[in-house]
Amino acid sequence: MAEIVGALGVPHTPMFPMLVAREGPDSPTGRLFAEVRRHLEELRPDVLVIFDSDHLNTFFFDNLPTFAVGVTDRTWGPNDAPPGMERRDVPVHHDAAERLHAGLVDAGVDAAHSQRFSVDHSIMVPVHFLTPSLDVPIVPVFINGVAPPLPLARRCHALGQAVRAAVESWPAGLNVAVVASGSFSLEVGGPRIPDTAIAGVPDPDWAGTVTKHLTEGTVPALVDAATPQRLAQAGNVGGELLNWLALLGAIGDRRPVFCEPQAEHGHAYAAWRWDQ
Amino acid sequence: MSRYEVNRFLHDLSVDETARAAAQRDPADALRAYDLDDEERALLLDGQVGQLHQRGVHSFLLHHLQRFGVGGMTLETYVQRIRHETGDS
Repeated sequence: MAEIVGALGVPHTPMFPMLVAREGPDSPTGRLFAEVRRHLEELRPDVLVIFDSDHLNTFFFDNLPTFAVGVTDRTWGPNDAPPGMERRDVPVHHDAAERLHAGLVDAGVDAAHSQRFSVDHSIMVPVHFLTPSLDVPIVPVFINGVAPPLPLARRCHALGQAVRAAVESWPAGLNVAVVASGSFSLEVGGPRIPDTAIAGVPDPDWAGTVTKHLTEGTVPALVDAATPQRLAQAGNVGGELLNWLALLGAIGDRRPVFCEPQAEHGHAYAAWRWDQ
Repeated sequence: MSRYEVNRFLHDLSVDETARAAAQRDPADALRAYDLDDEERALLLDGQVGQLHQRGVHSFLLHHLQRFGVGGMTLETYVQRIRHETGDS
C-alpha cells in the first residue's frame, strides 16, 4: 500500500531564490528552507504531491478550474519570469497523477485535469529549495486561491482527505510527501499594499492565528475560521491558505514537528512527520 | 468594459515573452492585439491601475505593468494609484 509519510509547508515568494543566492545559505530564508529540506530528505519520499495556487499563469479566465491535477510525465517552469530563476524541466509522476485524479473523481471530488501545462513560481520556488536536483517527481494539485469565488475551506480540507484515501488505495508501495505552497496573508499589487513595496501583509494577526492553529493541531477550528470573508481580508492571495488546509486534510489533525511562524511576513515554514 | 481582454493582456505580460517585449517596446501597438474599447485602451496606456481595479480588473494581474515597467510604470506611481483608487497622482 502506498502511504503519506510526511508533509511540508513553505511560502513561495518569487524573490527568495535570488535573495538566498545573494545572501547565502546561512541567511534566515536559506536556513528555514534548509530545515524543511532536511525533513524532506529524511522522509525519502518517492513522490511529492504539491497543493498549489497558480497565480493566473498556468490557468486563466478562459478555462479556470477550482481544483485540477496535473497529469503528465514532465512539466516546466517558471512560466512567469520571476527574477533570477532559469527555466527547468520538472518530472511529474505520471502514474501517481493519473491514479490520484481518478481517485478524487471516484470519491466525489470532481477535479479537472491537465495533460499539458507549465507551472509558475508557486511550484518552482518550493522545488528550487526542497528538491534542487529535481530527483523527486511531483504531482501538482491546483486549488484556485486567487480568483474569487474561491472554494470553501471545508472543501479544500475534504480534498486533502480524498487525496489521502486515494494514495492509500494504490497497490504500489510508494512513499508520498505532501507539500503546501503559499502564504496566509499577502497582498500583491492590490490596494492594500504598503507605501513602498509592490507586496505587503495586510493582516499579520490572521497569519498569527493560522500558525497558532497549525502549531496546536486545532485543524477543525482553523477550517471553521477560514471563511471566504476572512481569506479576502487576508489579501488578494490570502486564499493560498487553502493549500495548507488541503495538506491538513491529507495528514489528519497532527501537530508539526517543526513550525517557524513569520506572522510579520504573512507565512510560516512547517514540517509534519511521524516516523520518529 | 471587457475585463477579460484587459486581464488577458496583463496575463500575457507574465507568461508570453514576445507579448511582453512588444508591450515594453510600444504599448499602443501591442494593445492592437486585444479587443479593447477606447476607454480600456486609454486607461492601460495611461497606467491608471486604480481605475482599472475599480472596474474589476484583477489586482494581481495589474502588478505585471509595474513588474515589467510597461509604459514606464514605476513602483511609486503604481502604489499611489492602486492605493488611492483614483488614478490621480
